[in-house]
Amino acid sequence: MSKKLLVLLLITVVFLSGAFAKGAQEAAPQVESQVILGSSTQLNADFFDGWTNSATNHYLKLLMSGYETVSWTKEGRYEINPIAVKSWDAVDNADGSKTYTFNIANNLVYNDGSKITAKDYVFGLLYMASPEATEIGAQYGVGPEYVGYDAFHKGESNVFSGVRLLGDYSFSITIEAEELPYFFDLSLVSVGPLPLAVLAPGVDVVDSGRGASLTSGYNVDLLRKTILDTNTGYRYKPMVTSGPYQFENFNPADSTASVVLNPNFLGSYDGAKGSIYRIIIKLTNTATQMDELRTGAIDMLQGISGGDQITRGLDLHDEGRVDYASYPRYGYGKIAFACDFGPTQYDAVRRAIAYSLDRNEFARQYTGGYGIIVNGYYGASMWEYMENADLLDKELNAYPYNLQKAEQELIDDGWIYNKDGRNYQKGVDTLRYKRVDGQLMPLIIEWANTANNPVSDLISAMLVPEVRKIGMQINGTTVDFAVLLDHLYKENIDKPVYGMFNLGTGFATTQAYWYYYSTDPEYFGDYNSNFISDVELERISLDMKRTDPQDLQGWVNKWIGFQKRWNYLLPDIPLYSDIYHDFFNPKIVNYDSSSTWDFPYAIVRADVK
Amino acid sequence: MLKYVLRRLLYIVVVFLIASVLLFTLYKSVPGDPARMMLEGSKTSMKPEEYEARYQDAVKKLGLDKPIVVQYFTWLLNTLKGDFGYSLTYKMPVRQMIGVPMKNTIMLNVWSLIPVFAITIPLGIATAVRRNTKFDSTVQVVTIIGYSLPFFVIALLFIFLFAVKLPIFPISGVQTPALRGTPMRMFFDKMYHMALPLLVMVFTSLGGLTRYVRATMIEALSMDYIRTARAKGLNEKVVIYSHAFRNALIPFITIMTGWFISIFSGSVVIERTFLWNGMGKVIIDALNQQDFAVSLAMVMFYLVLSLIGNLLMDLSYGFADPRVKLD
Repeated sequence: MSKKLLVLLLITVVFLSGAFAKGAQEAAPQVESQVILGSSTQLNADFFDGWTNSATNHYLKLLMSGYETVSWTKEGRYEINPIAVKSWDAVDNADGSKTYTFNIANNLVYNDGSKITAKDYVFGLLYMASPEATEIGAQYGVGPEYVGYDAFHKGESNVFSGVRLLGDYSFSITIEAEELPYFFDLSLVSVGPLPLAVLAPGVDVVDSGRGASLTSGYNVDLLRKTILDTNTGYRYKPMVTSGPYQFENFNPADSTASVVLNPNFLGSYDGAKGSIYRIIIKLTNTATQMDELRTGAIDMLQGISGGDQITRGLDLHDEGRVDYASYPRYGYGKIAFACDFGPTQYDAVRRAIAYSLDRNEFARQYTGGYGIIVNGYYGASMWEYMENADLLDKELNAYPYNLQKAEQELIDDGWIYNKDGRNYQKGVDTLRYKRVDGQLMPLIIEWANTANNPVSDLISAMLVPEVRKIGMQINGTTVDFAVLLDHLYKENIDKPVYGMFNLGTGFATTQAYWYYYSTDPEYFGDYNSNFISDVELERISLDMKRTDPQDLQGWVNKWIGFQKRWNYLLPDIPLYSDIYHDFFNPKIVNYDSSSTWDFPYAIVRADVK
Repeated sequence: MLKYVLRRLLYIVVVFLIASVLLFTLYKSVPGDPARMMLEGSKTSMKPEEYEARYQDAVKKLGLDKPIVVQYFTWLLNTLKGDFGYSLTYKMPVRQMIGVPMKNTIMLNVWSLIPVFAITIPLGIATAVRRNTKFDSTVQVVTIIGYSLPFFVIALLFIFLFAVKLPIFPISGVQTPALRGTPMRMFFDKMYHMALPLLVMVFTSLGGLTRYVRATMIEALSMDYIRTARAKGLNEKVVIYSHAFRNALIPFITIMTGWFISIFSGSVVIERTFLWNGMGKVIIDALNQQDFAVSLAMVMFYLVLSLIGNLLMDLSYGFADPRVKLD
């Protein structure tokens, strides 16, 4: 009986498996023009800006957004979008503010065929700056630089004086005087349309002559209904959009989303409309993602780092199964210093640590040979670096491994005593001291690191024993990442403990150097996480901010000056900058990506054979 | 009986309250700043003053500006009303975000229970009845493999064999991307995706459960009443299924309760390996990302489930064995 039952069960399992497989094979879509991107970052249900910042959701949001007034270009600059903007001008006002006026094209339509007018652009700005948007839990960084933002955002005025509706196809934005001059000022007026009729039906955008405002009926209840409704809300189902692709589906069961071509899209700033019919993003995990690529379950993996994964991808390339593109990361892994207390407040100590570490070997070991090192506050894919690589490589100190130089830095800085206050004797004393305000300060650095982190392991193996040779001691403590951040930002702690941290950083496309290296204590912590207070570094960065947007060479010169000063002060030690790899099915052609021109930009310009 | 149930329900309430205080305190004492996490990533797109204002808003919204006792009672009352808080990761109410993973987990576990019990119970009985035979030894050896190898090793091995080398099943996922079709077609596609994780779950569960049934059956078969039953000339099937198996049920019910709870809890390894968006994955992600509203809500949910499961288990003893009196 048992034997029969067992056999019957096994047959049932095999039969069912076969049936499922057959059913699914029949069900498999036979769409040629389709690309499935595998991503280890899980998609969530958000497809409208204001809530989560998931990178993969952001890709889809970008694919569904278009007709922005100012576009981000492949060269890493901001340019007026000639498809959306028919004409424009920028006027410097007597009070120091600057007004940008845009006359948009009158042939723009959303994917559903409805017309796009200036009201949609102005509505987008009013909505994002409105207190009602904050009330429903959305977060936007748009508008604080515009005249009248504070009053409108706080609800003190229902008119946004810095935003004007000038006609059916014309509107203007005025930037506050205190924000100017600003090298990236074009980025401040990069706005796209939002469908007024969908997000705020029954509401109109009007201009009284003092600024733009929304008519009555615009309130939190309305936004909750049009945006937050889980079945129909714009946050979850943005059915009316302006970009090259339109929303098709999100399957929460396995976090897979798809977008399809928008037939009404006129083109991006360079005319690119997209040619691949459907783009799907599917969750993968790092253990099996290369197998998924091999079996054709996915067509592409992007931003792959680490020697093991890249080698597996390159093996697939050698077998002719995939093509690939590679580019340097727009950021780096680093040792960050607290520059406001303890030994790491002295730049000589930071330089001594840099000289004590063989960074080339470190980067080679960590990235498996697929990484480089940088010597300043930049990523190797920044246009400023790429245009001046030779000069920077020559003029910036690469801090090659050299314990003699490391030791000399310490001696020159006064780390010449032993614990008794006598001269430090190499071979006899183990720890250097410096006389600070009449007291002896030991050269002991407390280092906060996180568990299961190969970078921490390499620092322990490659740096900690080396600094001991020059009379320095690094004490590592493994903490939770949240604790590390608390200590880095000096929040929720009684007293600063750690002078050294290891973590990663990425740059924004409009990197605000002047915030990150401001000497104003208000910026210490979340922005100036090094707590570095160097007047010269701040002066250069503020000077960079004030560069005329047209003066590219002026910007570059100041940028190089900034990098030199930074390279001398060394608030961080850049450890490695990965060379990212995008692996993709050979059916995908013309796919040309970089750190600042990643998947959503590159795929719109790619084709499927 | 009714008195017993009422007493146990009261006990559940007390344990729930004590556990809620302990867990809430534990989660609150974990380092980290939920308000900062809520804004993580938005810093580079806003001015410092704006960021600070948003940060203070977040502190207020999360109730972090209130004393911890007030925070506890607010959380407890909301939980009892079915409001489990706000997920910092998903930026939506917890109740809204757990629906889909819970459904996925239940589906996978219920489907795995059927073959697991259908195979292990008869197999366990058969090996007990024929203990120390070649058949018994073979089953012991085969099941010990599934029992002793780590889950993830078996999962990766099955993927390599049945999805890469012999591409019969998909490597991961719940559904073919962007698939459209009739409900039947969607159902078959889902089952196709479920087949491989299901096979792994069944394979890894065989060892433990088969051996457990075998052990309880061997013990039951060695009892005097079995000898008596056989001496009375009863049919061997009646002896095994009516006399021995029924008496072996009590320890088996304990195992069943664990399985009942696991229907809702999901397997972290299976879900992560096969990217099956279920509760195991949600909880581990919530812990990693310090999304405490989610993890706290789920821990409390499983606590209640365990307490109810235990109550049901005790009640089941009474039904399975008339000698057990619930008082």
